[in-house]
Parts: sequence; structure tokens; C-alpha cells
Amino acid sequence: MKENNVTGASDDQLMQAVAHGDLDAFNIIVLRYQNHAWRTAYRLLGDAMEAEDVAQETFLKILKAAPLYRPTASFRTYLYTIAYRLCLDTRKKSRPSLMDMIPDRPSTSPSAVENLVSRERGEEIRHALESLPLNQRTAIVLKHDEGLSYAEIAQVMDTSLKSVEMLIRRAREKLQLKLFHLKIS
Amino acid sequence: MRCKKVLSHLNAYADHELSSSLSCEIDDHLHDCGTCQIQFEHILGVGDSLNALGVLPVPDGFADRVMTEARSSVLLGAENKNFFAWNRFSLQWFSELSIPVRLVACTTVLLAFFLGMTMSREISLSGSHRAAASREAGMEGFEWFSPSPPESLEHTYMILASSFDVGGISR
Repeated sequence: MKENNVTGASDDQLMQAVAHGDLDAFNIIVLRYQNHAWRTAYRLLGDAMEAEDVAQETFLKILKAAPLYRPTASFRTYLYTIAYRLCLDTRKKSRPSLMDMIPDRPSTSPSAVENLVSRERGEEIRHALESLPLNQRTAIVLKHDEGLSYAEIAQVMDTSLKSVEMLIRRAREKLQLKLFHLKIS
Repeated sequence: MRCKKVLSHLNAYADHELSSSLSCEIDDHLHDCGTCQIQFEHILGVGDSLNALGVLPVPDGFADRVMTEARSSVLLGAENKNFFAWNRFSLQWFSELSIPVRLVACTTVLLAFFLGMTMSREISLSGSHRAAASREAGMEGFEWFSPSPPESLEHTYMILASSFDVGGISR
């Protein structure tokens, strides 16, 4: 498939082309979804290097599994599912304790762009987010940052709608408590 | 609608996940209930805080790195595919046979193997037996001519050799 044909193609059409070995189509998928994959991995892991590894691995898994891909759900959900599972694996391997996930990262974090609030405020918010258990963080990140519906989040996390609703509710309650002193929330 | 029920649905309401009828009921309640309205604003406030984190940029050259890895993995995959294809082809004729024919083929190969083993053992044994018999008959060195078929050239030589005392050969 030529590049001018694939740029306007749907995700499923691109995946069909990738299944036939079309790397141009795969390139379009990478360009289209690199922000989503990277951002989600970074929000869930809190480390830029690990996030890049996970995002890259996500795309390579998509490439390898392309011949088996069936468009039963949206491609976006499929991508987030792979990224979420890789984040779970990475978290299990690298950091046994959730409290370790509150690092001070002076240089690796792309916080320069997060200057909509002051840097300190941004750090506080990010630390509050990273202090949440991974399942609550995943639910709130997929809802807020990625705009997934509860049903899609349930599919990504392989859980029920009720569980997703509960996870989001608890995550918001905790964030509310942690951010109360900043008078942001 | 009571506050308890409204509060239990407030997150889903904020995320537009409720049915239109339930949303309308909560709308009405929030209009009249200050406590629930404050709680709803807190939920929206958490969302604003998260939005304040901004959009994270992808690291420079990320897509290029992914594509480099993808190309190398595709090449590696093609090499592996060729290797396995060659292996499959080399045994393909066997896999295309029916099961009884496969059994017969396997049995034939095994029989040939054991027959070959037995024959080689017999030959080596008969050779050593012949050597021993020649030594007994004082015909050392001529054991490969014996037993020779009658009327053959070897047989004639053996008769001649036995009738003359030649080169230390004596009967």
C-alpha cells in the first residue's frame, strides 16, 4: 500500500496492510498512536525511560500480532490493552513497592511542557497521581487523558463496568484528599 | 432522588456515562441540593488538576526508533521463516503420506538397519572362522581363497598349492 493511500486509511485497514507485511502502513500507525502509547505508559510507570521501552514494545507486539488481529473492538482499545499489560509486567519486574513510584526526577521527565501550572504544582499533582495503586491510576488516566469510556476501560483492564466505576471513584477521592492542601481541587 | 443515590452515581454522571433519564434526575437534584453540588464540583476539580498536567510530548526520534526495530524484527522473522520452511520442505514428502504407508516405510527402514547389522556381524565372524581354519590347515595367507567353488581358478590354485611344497607351505 502506497503512503498516500495509507495516510487516510482506517486503523483496521492499516492493520490488514500490516498483516501483509506493509511497513509503510505500520509507520502510519506508529505516527498516529505514538502520543497515546507513550503518554499512557509514562503516566502509569512514572519513568520516561521505562515508558519509552513499553511504548516501543507495544508497537512491536502489534506488528508481530498483526496477522492474528481481528477488529472485534476498536484498535485504540487493543493498543491500550497491550500497553497496560506491558506496564503491569514492567512494574512487577522493576519495582515491587508502590511507594517507590514517587521519585524525584529532575531531568528525564518532560515537565517543561507541563507549565500550564507552576512546576511545583505539576510535580505535586503528578506525585499524587503516582501514589495511587496501579489499577486506580490506570482507570483515571484512561478516562481523563485518553478519553476512553467505562466500557472501553473495562475491556482494557479485563474487568467489569462496576469495577471501573469503583476504581475511578476511589482514585478521585484519594486525589481530592491529596490535592486539597494545594486548593487546586 | 436521595443524596445517597446521587452521590453513588456522581462520578459516572461527571463522565457522561449515565442514561439520559438518570442524568436528568441528577441534574434536577444538583439544582436543588448544595451539598451534592459541592461534591460534584470537587469531582470536576480533580479533573481540572489532571488536565493541568498538560500534554506530554513523545521523545524525539521515537517513531524512527520503533521503525528501525520493526524492520530488523521483520528481517529476522523472514530468516526464521525461511529456515523453518526449508525444514518443513525436507520432510514434507513424509508428512503427505498416509499413516499405514508411513508405518511401512518406518518398518522397512528399521528392518534394513537390523539386517545390515546382522550381516556385518556374520561377515566379520565368518572371516575370523576362515582365518582360524586356514591356520589349522597350514594355509595361512590363502584363507580368502577358501572355500572356493570347484572348477574355479582359485580352486585350481589351491589344488596346485596343496600338491607342491611352495614357499613354506606344506601339508
